[in-house]
Amino acid sequence: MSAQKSSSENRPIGSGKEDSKSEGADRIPHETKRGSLVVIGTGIRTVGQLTIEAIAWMEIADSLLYVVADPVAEAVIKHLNPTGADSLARYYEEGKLRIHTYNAMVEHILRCVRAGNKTVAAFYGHPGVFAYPSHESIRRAKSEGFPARMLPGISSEDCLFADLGVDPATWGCQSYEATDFLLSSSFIDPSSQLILWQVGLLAELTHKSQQFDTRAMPLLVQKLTQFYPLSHPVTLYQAAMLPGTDPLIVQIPLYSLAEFPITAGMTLYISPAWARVPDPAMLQLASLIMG
Amino acid sequence: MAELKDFLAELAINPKKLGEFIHDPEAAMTKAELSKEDKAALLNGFPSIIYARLAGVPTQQAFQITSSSPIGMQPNVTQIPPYYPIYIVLAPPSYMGQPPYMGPQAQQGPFPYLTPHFVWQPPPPYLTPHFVWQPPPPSGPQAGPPQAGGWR
Repeated sequence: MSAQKSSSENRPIGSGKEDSKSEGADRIPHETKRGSLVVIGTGIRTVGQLTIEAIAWMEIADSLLYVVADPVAEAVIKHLNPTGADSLARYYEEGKLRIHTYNAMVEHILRCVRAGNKTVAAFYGHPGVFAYPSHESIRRAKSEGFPARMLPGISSEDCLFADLGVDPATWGCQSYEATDFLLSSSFIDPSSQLILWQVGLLAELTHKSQQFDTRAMPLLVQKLTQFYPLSHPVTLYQAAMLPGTDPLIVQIPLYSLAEFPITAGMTLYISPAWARVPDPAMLQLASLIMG
Repeated sequence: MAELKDFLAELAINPKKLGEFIHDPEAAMTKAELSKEDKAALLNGFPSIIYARLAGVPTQQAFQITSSSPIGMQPNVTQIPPYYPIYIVLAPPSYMGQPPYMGPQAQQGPFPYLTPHFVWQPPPPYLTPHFVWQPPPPSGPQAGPPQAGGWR
């Protein structure tokens, strides 16, 4: 642990000692020690989904940079590392292209690593699932010769499988970012499960602090009707983020998707619409092998 | 008296206290000396009421309920924290031009000298497999391919 940082061990949360304001990369003295980067995830519901290893890394970090979506996660981070904790959420600005925000985050993380700090970057969920700054900062740190690695966390997809009671092994499971699915000519198999992520951010490349623009939703419905009947049930899902609360699970017919008030954190799950067709030739060949 | 945010943060890093909360939420909250307003917020199950309490919104305001929401009865507070997406589509869609050729090395992964992590093989007869493929039931999804021009 850094000599400039007091340990949080055995100190009750809320004792007031986590109020010291971090100044980010600017306060880091240039030393000869070698910087490093570990990227961790805080889970979707911080209470219960934070791993022991993630807690340990956050405690020993010189710089603990974070993007989290709830005040409890932020309180945990500030408690674990009062002097090193520094939110990257300040790079979000209303109407600003998100790619610019993400690049600024990556540059901030790299500044801390280059300054010789044991740098930990914490992102909500799994830090490698639908997360640009985490992968990019690791890639760049490695390319500059710094040790960098990622630890897994509990993602929204993990919560979805648990809450909806579906298994990706049953009929298979396809997973796309909603805008990517809409704009590309991807072929999907409607005899398999389909998950569309960030459906509340459809065709929206900027940041909105409250409600994102979902005017493109009719286009998504139009594309999905190439594969599914209009009456096919689709499920809007949002994992629970607080203890004692339930996940949001709303099933509606596909045709009403465009009218539904979809929020930014929602995911779209679509069950198979038609049965898988077996391949008789392969069945025969495989049965010969399997006896 | 403990603050709600500090109480929840403690649960996140202390498995013993989380266990006590899971076993008996009311007793755990009483032991932590949470206010009765925070206890009520945590027990009612509405995320927006809990967020409102976390943000210091007065109890009366936090518990105002409206039925105008299309997804049922919801608290009439707007204290849900802003959503911070951390992913964006980067590559232009493939219809802008030919998709780039990835080459055979793209399928090899970074460590072509390693053996694969997983090779399918029949389970030993004494083990019950966790998952067995089986054809979908007749009452399952509609059979047949999508019609030309899509479903209507």
